[in-house]
Amino acid sequence: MSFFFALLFILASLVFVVGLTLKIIQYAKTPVPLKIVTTPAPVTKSGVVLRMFREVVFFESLFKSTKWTWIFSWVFHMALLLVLIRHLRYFIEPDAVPAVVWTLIELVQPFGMYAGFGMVLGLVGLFLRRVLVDRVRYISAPSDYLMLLMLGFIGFSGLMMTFVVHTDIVAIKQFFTFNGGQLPADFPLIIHLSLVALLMLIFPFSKLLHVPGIFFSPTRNQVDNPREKRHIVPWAKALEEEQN
Amino acid sequence: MHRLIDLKRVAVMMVASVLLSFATAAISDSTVVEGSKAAGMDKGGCVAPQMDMRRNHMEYLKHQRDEVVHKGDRSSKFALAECVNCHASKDKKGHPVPVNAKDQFCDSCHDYAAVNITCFQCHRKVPEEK
Amino acid sequence: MAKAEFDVPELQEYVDVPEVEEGTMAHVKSFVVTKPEHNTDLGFPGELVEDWHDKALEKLDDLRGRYRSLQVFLDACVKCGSCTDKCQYFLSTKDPKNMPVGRQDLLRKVYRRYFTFAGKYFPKLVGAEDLTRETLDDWYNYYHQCSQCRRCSVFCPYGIDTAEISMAAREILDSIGYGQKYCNEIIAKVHKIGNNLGLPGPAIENTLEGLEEDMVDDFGVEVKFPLDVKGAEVLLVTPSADFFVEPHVDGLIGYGKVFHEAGISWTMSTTASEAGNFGMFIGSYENMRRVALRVREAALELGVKRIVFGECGHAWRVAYAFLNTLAGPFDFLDPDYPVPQHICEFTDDLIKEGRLNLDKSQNDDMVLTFHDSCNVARATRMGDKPGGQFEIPRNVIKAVCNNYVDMHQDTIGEKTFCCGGGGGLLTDDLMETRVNGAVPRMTALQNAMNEKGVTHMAAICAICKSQFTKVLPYFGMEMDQIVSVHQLVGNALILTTQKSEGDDEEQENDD
Repeated sequence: MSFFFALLFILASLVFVVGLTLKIIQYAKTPVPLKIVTTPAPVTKSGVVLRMFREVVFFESLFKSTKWTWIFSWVFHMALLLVLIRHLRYFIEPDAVPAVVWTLIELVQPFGMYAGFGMVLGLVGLFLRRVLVDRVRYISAPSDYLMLLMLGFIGFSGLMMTFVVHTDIVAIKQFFTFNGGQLPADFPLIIHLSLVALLMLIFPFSKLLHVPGIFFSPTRNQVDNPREKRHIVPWAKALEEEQN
Repeated sequence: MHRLIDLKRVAVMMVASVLLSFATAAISDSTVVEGSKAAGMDKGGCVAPQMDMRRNHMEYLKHQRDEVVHKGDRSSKFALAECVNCHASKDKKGHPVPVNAKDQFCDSCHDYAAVNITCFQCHRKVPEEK
Repeated sequence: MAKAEFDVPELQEYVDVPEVEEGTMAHVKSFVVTKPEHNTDLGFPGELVEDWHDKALEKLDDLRGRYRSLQVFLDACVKCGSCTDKCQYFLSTKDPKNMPVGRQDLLRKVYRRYFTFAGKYFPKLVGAEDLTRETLDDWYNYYHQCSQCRRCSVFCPYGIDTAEISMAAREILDSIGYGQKYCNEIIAKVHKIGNNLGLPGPAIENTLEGLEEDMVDDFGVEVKFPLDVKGAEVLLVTPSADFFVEPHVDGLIGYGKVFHEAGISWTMSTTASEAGNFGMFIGSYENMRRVALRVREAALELGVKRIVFGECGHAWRVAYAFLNTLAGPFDFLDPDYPVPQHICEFTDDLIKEGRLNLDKSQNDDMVLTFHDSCNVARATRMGDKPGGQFEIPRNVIKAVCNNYVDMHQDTIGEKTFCCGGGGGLLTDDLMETRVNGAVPRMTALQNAMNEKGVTHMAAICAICKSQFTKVLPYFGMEMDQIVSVHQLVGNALILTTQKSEGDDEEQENDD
């Protein structure tokens, strides 16, 4: 089983990293011929950094829109962040990082433990909204429900292992840090890891691309200075030269 | 009509998810493989098999604490003092080393897994002198 | 009361979010180009090409390689539903394909089917669909029910702007010869004659002479409306509607009086007799650029030092956000002024410098409110601070009127509702869409009328003004309740050598 999971995770990591990198390169390489920032917008670069920060950390635009969606998705994402930080302990050797970092990882453990509930709660809220609000139901494809279910089961199986049936986390860490550990044959763990691998596999091909996408969104990341500074991309420049 | 199909689809998924969650909860009694080294620990070794102890020692200790503190029942086999008695190593001079000292029995895993132990803020970390 | 061939929605106290009702607007189809030259003049095939299926996909592929917005927006949507209740067209038509995400998905499902792994191999799972004739017609019908007002983009957590998607879709449709008559005919007119209305130079000259005579008759002052005057300081580029209809032309009179009082020489141009640029509506960079270059040519030809744009929403977007890109650099103009300037910025500066003698009481017969035009609000700026596009027009109005109130907070500023006629929808064959799209704004206006005694609504957009003039009567209001901001300025502005008429009323109200 460990062998199977080792293969699975090597594959999933490869697909995740390569796929995502290719997508990011694609986004970065695709030109933005016009200034299309949604105004009112910052007029300086630092202002844009601040706007992006508010968008990514507080979900500012969503907050303006609907408070229910905002609260569920914000709770889910922030909880997920804590949970992910908590999981660093499985991939980092204590001696490989400065003591402060390790202390921080230790400190975050209890928060990450309970954040798991926030994660699942947020997902349940989002799922209910998808089912109950007719407008959202209309725009949902099967994958939209499955994505929530998948994340939900990742969270649920994780909570099971944290609070109900523990697994051998030292062995898991040895497995993931290539120290020859055998994965314990615990059912929640198998569910947990399989779904996480699946999530990584579909990441570059799905709406999870909203993660890199937001940083490349021209309506949010542009500086509002078209009059002050001429904005022109190569293909537009070429058009100009060809016609003049 | 369209809405009906929608609801049906949703219902199927709901049922499936409930079933799957039961499954997750039910089939999770992990056991130690028969005849393995860890199973051998049963015979006069630790209070429970190694694989069990690795996963559940915190629960056993917590349970034992409740038995003692709330009920005054000291008959449980899971006692922190016993852990310390067996697992605290000795230095070159023969003095016992605290179990939570760096790289010692408790610390080696707890540090590795980023779990703080607070037991020894109150409890003994070396065997009782006889 | 105008008569309609469709049910005119009744205004309620609030605009409630309706339950989805599929297909209510599927029958609304803006007229398709019938004269091939309306397409070919713009560089598109004259009629729907045989191999439209492959050509459309080719174009989609080309566009997503040239516009990061399109590529990112097609990928990033998580179907959170945040935008679903934000579009004025959905709110009153209930048609889910008029929800921003519903509209986007018409294109997104095809993108997924042909250009993504998931859509190629698991189409059902991710909602990917083949490009069929039905889908193509859906594109045509529903992408011509989007006014590209960007209201959805304000509320999208990823800033997805349906306007970008609808522009791309229209460009795809144009590229296969499936263009919209209204937009393409107008752009062809600009290319040929110089403005949207197809007014030839002599006609404009005639109108302007008439205005000059009116000025002399009314005020005894020779206020000039110069055309093609070389060496003038300022080139004013204004929507051609300003030469033609009420209340637009009252705005033009306002500009003329302001320039006269400021003592700044100015001119309009027959070459650039149109501020509007419908090239944006059809998403065609090439056509937009061709139209925008007229402004550069005129400025060079007349040797002006500054360019000022008149009251027009999408024109201000093209001017403010795109002009420098499309037709720049403008290093031959006076670097002390932004290029271009909005007429409201221009007037606001003069007011702040105290160079205009304003009698607010001239507008006392009105209680005013201001309709933030979508393109001005969400795609541009005025002044040097974010949000200046909201403050400056209001400052101007408040400087010339005693009675001003805002409409409900959720319907102004960046959350403003579109008038319902923007983005190339200002055509009679889309009346049903336009009247429905106006409902949220009309509701807010009606509430302001009932609660705050508002009598008139000012706007700085030629399309808004035309749309409201036409649509107000559907809701039992008067068409002249919509006014130009510079009409108000014109009313209040006392010309220095003006025939005295109200000397006793001269003292200013101090609040």
